Amino acid sequence: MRGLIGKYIRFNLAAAMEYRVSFVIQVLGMALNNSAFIFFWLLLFDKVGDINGYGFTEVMLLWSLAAAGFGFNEVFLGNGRYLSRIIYQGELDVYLLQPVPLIPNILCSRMNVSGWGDLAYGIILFLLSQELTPLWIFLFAVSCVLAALLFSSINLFYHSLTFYMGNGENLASAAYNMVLTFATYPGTIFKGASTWIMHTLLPAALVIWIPTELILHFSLSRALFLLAGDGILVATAYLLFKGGLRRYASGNRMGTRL
Amino acid sequence: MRHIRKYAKIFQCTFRDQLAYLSAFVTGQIFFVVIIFVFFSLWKVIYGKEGLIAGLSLTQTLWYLTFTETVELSKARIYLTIQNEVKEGSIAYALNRPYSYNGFQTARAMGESLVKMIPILILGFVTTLLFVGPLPGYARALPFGLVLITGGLLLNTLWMLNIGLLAFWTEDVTPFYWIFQKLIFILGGMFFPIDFFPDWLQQTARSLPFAFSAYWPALTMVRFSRHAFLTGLTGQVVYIILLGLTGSLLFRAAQRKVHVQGG
Amino acid sequence: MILDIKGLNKSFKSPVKAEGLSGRVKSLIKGEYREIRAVRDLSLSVPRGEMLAFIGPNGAGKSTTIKLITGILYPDEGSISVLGMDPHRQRKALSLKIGTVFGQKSQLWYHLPASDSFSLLGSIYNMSAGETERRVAELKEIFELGDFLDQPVRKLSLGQRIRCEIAASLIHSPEILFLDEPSIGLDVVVKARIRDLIKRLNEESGITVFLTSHDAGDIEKLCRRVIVINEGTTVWDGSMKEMKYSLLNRRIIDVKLEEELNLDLPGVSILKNRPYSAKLEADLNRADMKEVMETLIRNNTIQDINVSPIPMEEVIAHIYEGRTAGEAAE
Repeated sequence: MRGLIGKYIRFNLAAAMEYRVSFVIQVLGMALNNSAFIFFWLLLFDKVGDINGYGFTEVMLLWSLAAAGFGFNEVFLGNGRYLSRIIYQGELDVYLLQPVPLIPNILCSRMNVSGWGDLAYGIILFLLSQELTPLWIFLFAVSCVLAALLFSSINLFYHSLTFYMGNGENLASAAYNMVLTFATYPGTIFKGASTWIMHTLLPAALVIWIPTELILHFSLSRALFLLAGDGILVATAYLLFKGGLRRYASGNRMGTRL
Repeated sequence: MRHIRKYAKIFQCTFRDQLAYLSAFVTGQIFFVVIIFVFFSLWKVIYGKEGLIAGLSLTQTLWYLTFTETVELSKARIYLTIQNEVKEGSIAYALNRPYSYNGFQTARAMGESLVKMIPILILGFVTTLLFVGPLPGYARALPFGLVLITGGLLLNTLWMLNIGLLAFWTEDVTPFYWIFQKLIFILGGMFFPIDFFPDWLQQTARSLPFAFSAYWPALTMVRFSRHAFLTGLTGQVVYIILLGLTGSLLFRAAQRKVHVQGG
Repeated sequence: MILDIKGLNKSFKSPVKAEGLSGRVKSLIKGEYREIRAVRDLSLSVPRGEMLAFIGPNGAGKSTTIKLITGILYPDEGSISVLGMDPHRQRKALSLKIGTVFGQKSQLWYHLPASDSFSLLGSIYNMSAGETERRVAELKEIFELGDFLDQPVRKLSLGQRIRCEIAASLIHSPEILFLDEPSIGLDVVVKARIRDLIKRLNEESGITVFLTSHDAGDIEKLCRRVIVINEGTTVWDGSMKEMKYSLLNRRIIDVKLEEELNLDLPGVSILKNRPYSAKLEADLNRADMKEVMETLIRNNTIQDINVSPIPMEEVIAHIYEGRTAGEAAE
């Protein structure tokens, strides 16, 4: 499987290089796109002071983690966001007929080029805006990979609903985007019942907020709690997908094929 | 008269077509409510105990953001349509039809935008009302605000028309759209009123075209004055004419390019 | 037996599409479903090395059956054993031993040369770089891929692409090859070539071939055994020879003439006879096509002529008639 993932990365890159100019424009465009938010926060913090414990530097940490984690997911596990389409158009067949672990095979087989822009942006922003101690760099790298894993689990969870209730593509992409939106604001601004949702159904807290706070003030017990939460999320998504496979209709159900 | 009917028909067809996308519509609405909720949470903390920031109250700021989001989320992404038509070559058929291509795309996009706008306005009204209460002077400002919101939609449509036409020269125009969108986000005052900007930036930002897509329509709604309305309207007219012109120049250049390359 | 199926059943639920906006809202809430039984009580067994054709009209359950056999779909009822394995429990182990070509679902990367896809598939099937290389060299020779193996797939013709597609499905030297409509959209010359390749493959390596097709030609030229399936169940199972003799033995002849038809031959029945045009059915067991043609041309002034086999739907109708007639005789 490891060799296969390497090949997927290499061939995806090679395919992207068939349209080199488009690749460069997309990567730079996405990085520039994200940079706009630096100005937003700069202008905002110029006017107001600290926001529930978050200053400019802390928000930049939050942002760099969100961008890098999201970018990592889009680049290396990029097929997740197309899962509904793969399910209802019957394209899962191809993956089901291959003798490798199904979920990694699906997720890794596509790369979304603009994700490179997010990934590069996140890493550069981290390098420029944060203190570079070995511990921070280590925690940032680990959090990045974990965030990508959770983003993929969110995709897997919501897109698996397509097995059960017809095309869930819109719902899934809305959920994915909502988590990303929440993740780019300090978690401390949210109060009450909404924070429950952000720890469960739209787990921006697990993906970005708690890791950010752990980088800022590391605590082992909190880190273990986080890992347990991550485990539950990954397992839930996995089980939902596995259960859905039994109902897989290989393009026969939707009546979309004319 | 006949011309108006022609574009009205295009408008009408798109209107009906849009109604078909029910589930995409519903999730889009949910996303809108979530965005307002995020803004509410953020600004509530920022305002804390302060009554006014840059002359605006929390209530006014949140309503302001609801209106800028309304313009943003009602956008019909015609740059994608145009890019696809250029890529597939189907634009060649549109070239010798008895209407202007730019006029057709604009009418179609406006049809789509206005359909999207109405439910967003209503939903925005209810949601924002629940979060921060009524907006003082809403009823009086509404007719003027609607004119400027529509103007903002038209302005955005023309931007996207120009961006879409760039597809004749470059493979993928999406990054240009991203950059345009972010200019509206920041310089256009979509994420917060230009009044919050540092002094040196305020004057420039107010007169740049981006402000007329977001800032002026929303400001007219939350802090109505005849001056604000007229400034907004004048700016919109000027920039609509300008972008219309660059659009037709781009289109003519593209046509020449197509003729040279033989389509 | 390489393949054994007993009492297989599979049905799909399909949402009932309601009309209009209010109907759509209602169906969102209530969710009405119509059950479609795609496969019902299907049993069959296939010995090793067989070349088997699986035919039937659209929606008869051919593809569903193949997907059940290959482990893509879960059966509702019944047992399947392929190479001694249970496909949906041992999907991964089974996939190492079977190859599949599904008409529209490509295994090849569109923007990359087929050689890259082959190397990737080699990794997927746990083959070493050396093994993959040797196997690709073999397939390259058999399928004559030399000229275009290193060109991006998007630049290949449909015929070249399907050759690569079949080669890709054979990279791991499977024991059974499933071909689902492999010749769709190909021209006559390419079709003939693909048939030859498949035939050679079966003769040389003894691979079992399981073919679905609409094309009577594919079936006639390739397969020794034919299974006709309709509404999810077997309606006919026999050798190609028998099939040819009893089912594919008729031709429909449409002629346009300058006068009334003048023809009387044994084995030729006249279905329609109008001034200037006629429709005939020739039974090839009793009439010789050459003779029919010669007589037609000798006795008549012909403007236009069209000969066609009996459409699949009618073949199936014939099967049903035969069966009911047979049952009545008993």
